[in-house]
Amino acid sequence: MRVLAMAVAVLWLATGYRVLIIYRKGYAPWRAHLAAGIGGLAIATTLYSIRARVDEWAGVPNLSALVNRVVITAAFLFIQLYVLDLQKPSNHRQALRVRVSGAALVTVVTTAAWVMAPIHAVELLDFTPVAANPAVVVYTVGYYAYLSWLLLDLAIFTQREAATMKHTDRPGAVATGLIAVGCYLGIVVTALWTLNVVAVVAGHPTSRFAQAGLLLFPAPMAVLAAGLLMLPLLPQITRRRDALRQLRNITPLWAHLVRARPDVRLALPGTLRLSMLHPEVSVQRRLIEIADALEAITVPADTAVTLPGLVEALDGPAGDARSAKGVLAIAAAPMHDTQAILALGQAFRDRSTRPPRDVPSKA
Amino acid sequence: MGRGTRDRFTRLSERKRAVRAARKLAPRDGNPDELVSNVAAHRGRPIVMMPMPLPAEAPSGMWVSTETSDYLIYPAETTLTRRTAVICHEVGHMLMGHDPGLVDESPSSLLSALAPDLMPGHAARVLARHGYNNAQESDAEYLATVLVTLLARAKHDEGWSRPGSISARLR
Repeated sequence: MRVLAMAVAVLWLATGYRVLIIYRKGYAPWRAHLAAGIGGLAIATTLYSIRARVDEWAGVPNLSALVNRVVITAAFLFIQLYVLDLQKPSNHRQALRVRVSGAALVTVVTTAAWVMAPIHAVELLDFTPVAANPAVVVYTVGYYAYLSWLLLDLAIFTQREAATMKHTDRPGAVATGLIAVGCYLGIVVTALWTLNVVAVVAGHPTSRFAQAGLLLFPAPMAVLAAGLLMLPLLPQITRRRDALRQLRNITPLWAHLVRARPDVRLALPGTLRLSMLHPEVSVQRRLIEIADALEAITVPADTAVTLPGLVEALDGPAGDARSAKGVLAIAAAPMHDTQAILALGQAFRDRSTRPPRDVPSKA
Repeated sequence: MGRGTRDRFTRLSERKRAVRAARKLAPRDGNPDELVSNVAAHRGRPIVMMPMPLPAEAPSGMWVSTETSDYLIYPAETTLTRRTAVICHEVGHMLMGHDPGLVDESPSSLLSALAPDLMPGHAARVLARHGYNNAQESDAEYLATVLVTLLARAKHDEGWSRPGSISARLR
């Protein structure tokens, strides 16, 4: 139950995120299709979590099960339209027609099967007791087959996309990979529910498959929604992680240089000082101050043109022969200058944490 | 409310407004030159970029405002990090709405020597990046830090999104 509540919350969060994207970036049909698809899954999962109460309120046992199927079909149709827009097939109009008529046909057949099925007397948690009825077989197995085909199509597409992005777009690869995993998990759920009906029809009824399916049902929804939410979250997480690592490396060098050249330091009043605590802002501020200090500081003529040589010169008495910036440019070539400062910071930190040369090592 | 408190509130709201503008104008590719183009379009005045050999004791950058254009002077011989910081500092002054008055003789005399064509005497006004010992300078440098962070963030994320990919569409 806790997993189901979590799945509902994550799906609504993902829907909110997609609506926010439309608001911020403007309306586009594919954005609306994706938002409608995710929103549909959120409605279906919410409805599933309160199905007994809804049926009791409506006075029609198992009505929410039918509504759920119709909403999921509509949600997947919107997701298919979104994917179709990405794939841009040459026969777009025909592909569109196939998908829309497929969804319409499934909705009509499922509704007809639901009307004919003997499931209107009492609320059923699953349809095991009546699974041998032909209308129930169509209502369940027919629908599961359609759903499995949709999920497999989406899983293969997103898995392929994830593989192409593995090295160039980590958040994208993780997000689409998770969506693919969500789809595969969904196929497992539909397979378990299909097995349940097959077991009853074959004369070996068991509640194990249905229970496992019910237990697993929220997982694909939660994984799918988590995949969508990973896209805005993962870049922030990796940026913060990188900034913290860089901050650790450059802080000893920065502290040393601003002691030597306090004029490069930006002293801010209280509220602004707080904003500098953000690791990304803080690392950029320190990089600017290090660059300004290196421009102003000169080192002795005999400074070795290497990173450890420059570190030693910066740590030693001031010289007035060579610009520290010039020595760094040659010592760290062909690095980009920000990378050069980061490398110098690392070398300075390594030197600060290393024991002095005249202290014999215990080993 | 005392004058000091009122001034503090005014500065705070000016900074907030400038940060909002910075977020809007920071380019997606993290290129500082693109930022300058966006700011010029936003202000409706051309900004001319002028790399110059600035001596060590001179300000590290200057914003020269004439009747028709803005000139952004930065050191020709410097690292990319510092070039970006200097450009962002001067852009910071513009976004904060600072008035470049001739407050100091040294930048204007230096400018006359470096770029005499730019100083027709009465028309040009100068703001220089030289220490952060007054409110205008520290505000501009604060905004420069915000801008540099936004540019670095854009550069960091740039390679992550192949145009037209499902990932770009999902963002």
